[in-house]
Amino acid sequence: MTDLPVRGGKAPARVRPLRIPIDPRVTDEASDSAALAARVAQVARGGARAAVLGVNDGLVTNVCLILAVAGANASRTNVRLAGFASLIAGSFSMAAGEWVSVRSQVELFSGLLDELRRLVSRNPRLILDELSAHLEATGFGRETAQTASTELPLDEPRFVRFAATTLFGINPDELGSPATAAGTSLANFAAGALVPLVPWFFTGGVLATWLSIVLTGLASLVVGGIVSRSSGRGVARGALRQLAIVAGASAVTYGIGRAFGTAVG
Amino acid sequence: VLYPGTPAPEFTLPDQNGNAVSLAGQRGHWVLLWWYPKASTPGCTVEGQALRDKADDFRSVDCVVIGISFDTSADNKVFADTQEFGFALLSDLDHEVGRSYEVRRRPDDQYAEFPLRTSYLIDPDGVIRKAYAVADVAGQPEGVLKDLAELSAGT
Repeated sequence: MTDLPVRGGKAPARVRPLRIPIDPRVTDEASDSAALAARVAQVARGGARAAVLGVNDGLVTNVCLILAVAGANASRTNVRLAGFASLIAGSFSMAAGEWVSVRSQVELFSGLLDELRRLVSRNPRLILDELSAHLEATGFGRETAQTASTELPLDEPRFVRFAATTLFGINPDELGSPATAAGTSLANFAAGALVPLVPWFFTGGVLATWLSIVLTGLASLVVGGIVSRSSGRGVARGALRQLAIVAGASAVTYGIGRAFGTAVG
Repeated sequence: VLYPGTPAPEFTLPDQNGNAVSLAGQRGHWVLLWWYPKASTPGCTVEGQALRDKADDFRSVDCVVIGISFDTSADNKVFADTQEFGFALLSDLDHEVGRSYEVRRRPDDQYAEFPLRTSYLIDPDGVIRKAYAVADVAGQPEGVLKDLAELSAGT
């Protein structure tokens, strides 16, 4: 007789049941339920933070800066210097921001795990009922959902991961590292900021200004199209909206630069 | 799972305090034998709490509640003491009683070391009258008490 491969998920070498001190009696059902609901809502808001693309930030920041400085009749060298300084400053600012953001997510997650354990300890029925309700909403029959939710804690690491993903929408495997996020952000912002700056290395004046605008416009169309496509919306509409945003921001900044340059230049 | 009408397999096992408890010793009383996968885990705790909170109702219909698992007596003692259970928790360390009650999982099941969450309602003559694959751990007592009332009325 040949051994058939074991079907289903790969079993861990040894399962570790979730055994934490559980209060014998639930003292405040309503308060536990409200605490869980509030935490879930809070995480949902935090998790939905705007996924701003570094490339886009670099584009908008630098084209606006270059147009403002050019609008104030600065020399080609000064525009180039200002644009380059903006590229460096923006890149590092983005990298630092992203590092803090991802680091906070990691800390938030470990805080959530502690909170989850506290809730299981205080009111295990609440957590099991929540998981069961989520599984039912996913499409499982009630008995299957109830059986699954009571069987999951037989392996603590997977139970915690599943509960956190289901109740809080955070997957610990997808948090990433702060260093990688910072590096990616830095590179993306720098790439975006370089686009409107490139013409000023070869030419200057009105030609360089127009080239900055055209290159930024083209890059905005590409970025807007990619963002829309990845979010499942119309590519053309997303690209044009991105172009409009960049054009609007640039026009306002150029106008302010001109007014400022006229006033103090 | 053993079907209703089957004589409940006999056993003598240690409870959480090391005292031997046998099924034969419960003759003349109804017995709810609830198999749970693992002491002190959330599902088993909620199941035990629900049975604990209905202890008076089970007593009033002359039903003895007995928990049973593959845990050690020491683990069961911590479980029973923490949760203030007034009933016995038995240790079937070699899984032999589990085998006779057909609550062992397949060897290739990742949770093979834990019994299935199955409860048996055994009548005063030692015959299984109901078998439950328990999914709703908190709602189990109501269903069992309802069955007990119907079965008692029929006997």
